[in-house]
Amino acid sequence: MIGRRLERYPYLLAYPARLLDLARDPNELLERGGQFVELSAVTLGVLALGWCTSRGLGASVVAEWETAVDGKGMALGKWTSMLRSASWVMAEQPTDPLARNIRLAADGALPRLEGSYRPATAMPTVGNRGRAVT
Amino acid sequence: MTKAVAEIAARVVAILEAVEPLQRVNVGVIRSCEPASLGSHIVDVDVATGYAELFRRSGYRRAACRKSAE
Repeated sequence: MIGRRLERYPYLLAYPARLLDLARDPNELLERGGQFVELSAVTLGVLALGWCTSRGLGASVVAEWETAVDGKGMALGKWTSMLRSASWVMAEQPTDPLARNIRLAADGALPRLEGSYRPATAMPTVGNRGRAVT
Repeated sequence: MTKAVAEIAARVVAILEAVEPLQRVNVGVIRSCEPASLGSHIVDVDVATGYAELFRRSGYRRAACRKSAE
């Protein structure tokens, strides 16, 4: 299903993707798929926060995260909101390669993380044994 | 159920495609960082790339981990 070279992705994304790839039962696929989506947001968020703190930029982004953590905690919507704010800050540093890569990944992933994404082509079909194939 | 599985599968593949730039980001945990010679340090890093277990790598690196070592 994944069809990608996971060994090049950060562990926090590659590992849940691999678990999803190995899943057979539809319930397991749904559960692991949901976990992957959440972990993607968290991974991007942590990378963005790390960049902000290491560069001393985006104080409002870090403050937004701290306020959420001190309050009800970080749900998926909070992570995506924070990512969107961090993306603006990183866009102001076009010569920073780390900022550029994190921002590109965040900007590309945000519509998918927020659930507003709809694939342009046909959905993958689910083969026998409950495994999705593309 | 089949439709839900297909939707989550499409979403996961789309996210992986979107975060491809992260393949150029080396994620890891610096376990130790000691000055070695002028302008370089020897670092001990848990590399966090790929889906296998984390593995440790040691090597020389030029003055890149000062902040992490503090």
